[in-house]
Amino acid sequence: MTQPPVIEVNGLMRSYGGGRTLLGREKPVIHAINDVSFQIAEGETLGLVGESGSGKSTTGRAVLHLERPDAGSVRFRGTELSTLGQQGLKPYRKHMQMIFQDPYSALNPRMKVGRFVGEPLVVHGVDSGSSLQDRVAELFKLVGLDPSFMSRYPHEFSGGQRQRINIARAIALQPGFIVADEPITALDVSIQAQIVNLFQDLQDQLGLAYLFIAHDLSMVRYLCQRVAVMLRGRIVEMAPTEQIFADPRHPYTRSLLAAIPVPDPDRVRPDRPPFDVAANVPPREAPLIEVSPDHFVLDHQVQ
Amino acid sequence: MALLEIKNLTVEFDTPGGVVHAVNDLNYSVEAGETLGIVGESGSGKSVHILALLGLLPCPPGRIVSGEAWFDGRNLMALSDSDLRSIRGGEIGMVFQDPMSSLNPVLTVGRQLKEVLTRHTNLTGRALKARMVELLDIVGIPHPEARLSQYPHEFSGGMRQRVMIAIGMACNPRLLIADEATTALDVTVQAQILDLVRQLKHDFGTTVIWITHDMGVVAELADTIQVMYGGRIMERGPVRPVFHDPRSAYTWGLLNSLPDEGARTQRRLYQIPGSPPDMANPPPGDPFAPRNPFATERCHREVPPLRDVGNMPGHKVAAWYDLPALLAAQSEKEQTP
Repeated sequence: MTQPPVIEVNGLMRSYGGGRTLLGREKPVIHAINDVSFQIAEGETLGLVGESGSGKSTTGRAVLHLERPDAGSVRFRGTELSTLGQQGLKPYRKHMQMIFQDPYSALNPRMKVGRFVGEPLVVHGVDSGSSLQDRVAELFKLVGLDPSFMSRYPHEFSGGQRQRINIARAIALQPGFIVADEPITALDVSIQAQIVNLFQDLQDQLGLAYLFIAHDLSMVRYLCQRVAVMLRGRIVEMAPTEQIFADPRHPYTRSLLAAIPVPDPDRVRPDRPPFDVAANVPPREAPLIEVSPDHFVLDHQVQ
Repeated sequence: MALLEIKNLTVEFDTPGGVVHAVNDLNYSVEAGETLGIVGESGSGKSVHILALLGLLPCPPGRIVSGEAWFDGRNLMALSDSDLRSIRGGEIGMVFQDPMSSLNPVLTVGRQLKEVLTRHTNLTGRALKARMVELLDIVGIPHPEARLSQYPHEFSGGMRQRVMIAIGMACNPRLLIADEATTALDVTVQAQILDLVRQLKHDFGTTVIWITHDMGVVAELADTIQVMYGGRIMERGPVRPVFHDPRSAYTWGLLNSLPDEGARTQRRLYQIPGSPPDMANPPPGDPFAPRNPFATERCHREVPPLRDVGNMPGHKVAAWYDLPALLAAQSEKEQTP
């Protein structure tokens, strides 16, 4: 990593449940994420993949402190966030934003989209009045929308345009780091490439770092410099993208990569090694070990 | 021999925003034993036309303006509701995208399987129970006997989708129709379901219509691909010529907007400009023309018919332009400074 890290995550934990129900029965504790650690450099994209329920989204929310982690450390440009209160966090929230899967439910249906995009600028007292309008118009242009659309309502836009609106709001405060949680999954196929290109362009122009949560592995391969694979709340493998595709070490990573449908009818399907997720819960205490430079694997099943 | 033949199918919806032209004069057939992959995005008509021919389209707001759907000598569109019911779930099995809303949450999985089997077969007693266990076993659900007495919420998403496929396959259908059946599933589960469908085709010679937006799934599973857009077929043919030598600018755009396999060589993906069409105000000519950089003046004016193209039988395109010639001219222009 030549750039300094924008985000450093160490030993992040988040569990749900526990305690007792109204009738006094014990509720089971679910460890949504367990000992999750990674770094993302300035301007870098880390892909986070894994099955549904593996803890990808929880990780994204816990890193941004939208949900307080139970334990572990998150540093943003060197500042420890976990010890800060809500007021203390506020200045850092400007620099870290989130983009969600469903571009419609993230929008406020009763708010004109121009106001929606400019709202963070007002909340953080960055801009107001006519300079606010100019800044919002600039943001619209940046994400490929006509500034004349500012006075329209969300229902007047297509899915791809709505995601552009969400992206415009997310970059309004010039963040250094964005968590994008399945940002293209809900979009039509012919629109996905538009949004992926936009992510790249914004990274080039603004030096953004992304945590890109996805299950489309071919898009992850294209967009991310490094990939982390999650299974049952733990990162089981993490490596530079081409390294992990060329030499996956963890059996779950292997089964995941073998399952990608390739759009080429001449391609011979790889043998798909069966992998029983239920029977392969990573042990809580197993450490990640570095098997080659920057390539980490959970050591309970290294092959 | 065609097992299913759709003729002149046109479906509209009455909405407050006007009449939505969902399916426009659709014609195609599926041969016995064939696997047809239908690709399309929202507004392409890929799901609506299937609901229409199965008698599952809510009317109103839907309206079948015209069309026939011949299945093994019977026109599905002319059958009574009760005749259609005896075909659906029996000779034609169906699997839809959302297993949670397709299964009844208050009935056990066994009860729901039993319902299908008793309606369409003569099985009773032990033979019926044995068949139910066998079906869950075929779709790879562990401990099938115990699972029969469980409710849908006790199954994971992948397992519920397997139950849906078990119900779809219960009566050894001659035609299995799946609409985005694996879209909500993890890739590893999707891979298992695709393996399962291949096995069923191999064992029972089932004819399959697999509707998806994923070109990779079509490449893996289908013999024939049919690309739909704006309620029409844009291109259709055996998978190899369509993937390697696409003749519709839409097919070409879809294939090129996918990242290349292998090293990250491209900086930008090819992107299809614009948005999917508003089918309440469809373009007058080729529905893809407004987004097609190769569109000619005629494309904007007149709907192109589906015509034979290339040298593989069955490869057809609806386009006024000659895509290979246009692509060749474009790359020549790029090479000469």
